[in-house]
Order: sequence, then C-alpha cells, then structure tokens
Amino acid sequence: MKSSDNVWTEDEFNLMRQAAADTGNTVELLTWNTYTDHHLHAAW
Amino acid sequence: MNHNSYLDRPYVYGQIEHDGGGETTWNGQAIAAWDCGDARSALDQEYVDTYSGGSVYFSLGMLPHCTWLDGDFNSSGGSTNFSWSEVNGGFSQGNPNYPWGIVRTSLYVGLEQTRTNYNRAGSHSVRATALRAGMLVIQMPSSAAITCAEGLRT
Repeated sequence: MKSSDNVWTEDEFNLMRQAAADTGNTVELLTWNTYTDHHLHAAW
Repeated sequence: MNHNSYLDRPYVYGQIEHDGGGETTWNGQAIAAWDCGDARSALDQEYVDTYSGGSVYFSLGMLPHCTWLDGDFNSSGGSTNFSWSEVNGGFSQGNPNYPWGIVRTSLYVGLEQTRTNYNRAGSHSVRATALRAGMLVIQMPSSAAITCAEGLRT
C-alpha cells in the first residue's frame, strides 16, 4: 500500500503502518526497508 | 502440464540425488492436481511452485479448489473503497490470471480498517496498488512487482 495523495516518506509510511497495526489482526506487517520501492506490505 | 485429478494435493515426481560428498538433493517437480480449465489452473500451480524460497502448498498445505460450488477463486468482488480491479489487477505488470484471484474477506476488512485509521490524522487516502488474497505472503511470479496487502493469498 501507498498513499495516493501524500508524499511517500518514511514518516508517512510509518503513519500508515501504525494504521494497519491498529487493526489488531495483521499476520504480516513489513517495514520501510523491506522493499526497494518502500511500499507497505500487510497481510490479514 | 497435466492436472486432471481433483485431489487435494499435487502430484509429485522426482528422486533424491546424491552428489557423492554426502549431500542429497531432490530433483523433481510438483504439479497442482486441480484442472480448472482456465487461468485458475495456472494460479493453482503458483501455490505449488516455489518462490522466494517457499511454496504456499508445502508451507501451509493450501491448494485452492476450483469447483463451482465451493471454489476458492473469485472473479469479482471489492469493498466500499477498494474495487475488484484494484485488489486483483493492480499489479505493475498486470494480472496474468485475469479475471481470477483469491481475495478473502479478511483482506477487505483489514484494508478498510487501515484506511479509516490512516484518515484519523487528516484527509489521507490509501491506494492499494497490488493486493492478493488474504494471507499468504510469498511472492509469486505474477505478483513479483506486487506491492501487497495480502489477505491470505490465502
């Protein structure tokens, strides 16, 4: 996932990552440096 | 590729080979048993093949079924803010198994909740650029460029 209307910085990534974490049931939630394009990978 | 038997496990052919130095390797192949008659067969095979060091079937024991009554595949779907084409066709190189995919409800729920949570900080929106079904996370060839939020692939 990426933001469609915000500059995709590490801070923005972490904001979205926390939003995913707050769902409380992710089975995978990867980090900024996992992929070279820095997309957020999450799995439920 | 021959998949003609509606089994819950792949056909496995091959043999263990010894290199003379004490190392043994398995040389063979595994073929998904389900013949869905269309692109679903290729998608099924992805669950058996090994990518990024793992195989969905051999790691999790999952081999999707393609029967009409209780099939695991979808060719439509979506949620309030995420369309079917977005979750199943947003791969950077397209979906080679169009229109099929495996997307679980858990993925839609997770995406919608994430979008809601993300919007707490202001007017942001989430674009899902490549999702696959709800749980797995081994990168498949068809999803090599996937920026994923996976509901299984499972």
